[in-house]
Amino acid sequence: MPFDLSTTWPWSAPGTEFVVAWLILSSIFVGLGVLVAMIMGDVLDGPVRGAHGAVSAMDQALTSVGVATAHDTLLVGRFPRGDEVFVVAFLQSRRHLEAALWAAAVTDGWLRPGSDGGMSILDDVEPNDPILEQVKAVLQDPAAGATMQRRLRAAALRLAPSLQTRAERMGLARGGERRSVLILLALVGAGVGLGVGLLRSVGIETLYWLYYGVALHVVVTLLLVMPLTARHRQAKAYLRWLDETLGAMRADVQAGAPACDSDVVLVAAVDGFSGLGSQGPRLGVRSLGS
Amino acid sequence: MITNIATVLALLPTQTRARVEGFSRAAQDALGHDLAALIVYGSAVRGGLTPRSDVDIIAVLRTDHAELLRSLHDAAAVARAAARVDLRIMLLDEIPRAADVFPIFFDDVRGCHAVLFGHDPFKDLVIHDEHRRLRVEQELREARMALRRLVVDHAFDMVALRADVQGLIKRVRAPLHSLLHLHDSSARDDLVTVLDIVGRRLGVDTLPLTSSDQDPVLVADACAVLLDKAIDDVDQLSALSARPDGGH
Repeated sequence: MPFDLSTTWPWSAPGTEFVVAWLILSSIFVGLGVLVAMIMGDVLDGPVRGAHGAVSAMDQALTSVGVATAHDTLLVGRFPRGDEVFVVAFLQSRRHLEAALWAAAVTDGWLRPGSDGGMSILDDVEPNDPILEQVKAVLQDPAAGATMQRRLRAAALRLAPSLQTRAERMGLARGGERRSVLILLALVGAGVGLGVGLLRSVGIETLYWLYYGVALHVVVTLLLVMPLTARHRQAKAYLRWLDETLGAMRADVQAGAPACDSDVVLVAAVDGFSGLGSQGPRLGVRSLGS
Repeated sequence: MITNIATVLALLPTQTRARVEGFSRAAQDALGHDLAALIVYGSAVRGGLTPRSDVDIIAVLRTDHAELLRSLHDAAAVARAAARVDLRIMLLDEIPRAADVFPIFFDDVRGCHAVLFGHDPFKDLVIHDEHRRLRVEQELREARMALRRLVVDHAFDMVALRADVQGLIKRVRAPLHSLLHLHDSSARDDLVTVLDIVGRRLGVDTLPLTSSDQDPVLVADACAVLLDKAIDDVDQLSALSARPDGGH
């Protein structure tokens, strides 16, 4: 009989042994699939660019500093300017974006910690940035959430598509098509692992609960693959460089002695709420329950 | 005193050294021939650099048009964020002309610096004693006024008083060293040496100013006595120089 695997290991293994073997094998295949997708992603992204052109691994080390260029993108060696700090935060995570928006709102002067532990929004102070105008509108909107924390999350979610588009335009995020290709690539690897389980499950009905395992396998694979294929090589290199660059600024912000307000926003974008240290009370972070 | 830059860099923490060298390369790339020199001064050269200290650098330019200055943005921003590099930008031909209004600052730089790039613009700088004396008096009087204000503001906050008075003592190190210079003393310019020599010269006990476990009120009192006597000393120099023979 063609494709008769009943005598071939691991299909021939008894129940428990098969499950253990399947878990190990499928994990290896998922890992290989993700690895291939990540490598292909980097290959498709091309070499990492710096302010001076292509950036070698050595250039990305501690000594690399930048020279201003006309590029409208974030290159290794180039500091974020103006509202580019929100693109940096978006590339980190949604929570980082929330932290940066919050820090920017407070340092912009229209969001203030109140004496009761809550926050107040000053109607008569205009945000000095179009992005912050949107944030203020959402924070003032009761329909966006019952608490300030929920409204902040809503603001971050509302800004995410435009920041994604901007990041793609800057060559810092992968577009939908490329991400789909990479996810498919990873799923091919994962599919081999899945196939082993499916064949056995279909063949031996007594292991019906393996169906649940296979379903779980699909979910875990997708959860693993999607974020790993989302981040662009250029963004990874840039965020790593920026993280290594902020040594003194980070220490000053955490000690409560930032040189200027924009330093607080940048550290929030790179490190999230946890990086704000003793700036927390000034920014009213407690009112968010963070 | 010009210090060998290799010696200075070797004494810096590894990451700070890498950033300073990186800044030098980036500044040279950005400014090209318009960059005349990069000078490191302050505690990075003198010693006493702490993790919270600034690394003081002067960029000496030949021109300062806006586009050129903008090209320095990223290098300066990265150096500040990474290693607390505090950058002053001066023009090459501005340094000799500004010696009349910055005599103490230039004395301080000239007294202890290292050339990171280019030639040394402070090497042949001429600073006149009369400019030095005026500036010393101005800075000491400003410090005296600031001290009074600290005692008022921190009347019930001894921790803040201690921190701010210690900051003020560091600030008067340079004018006090210049005062010694006016008396033809060539003492080293580190804080402990300057306070010790000035204290002996003026008959003031400066020990409370350098010990960390002193009562902040006593430190403020000792600082006030030192400043008052130093200002009297400068006034006497002023009276001497006003005489027709210039005090000589």
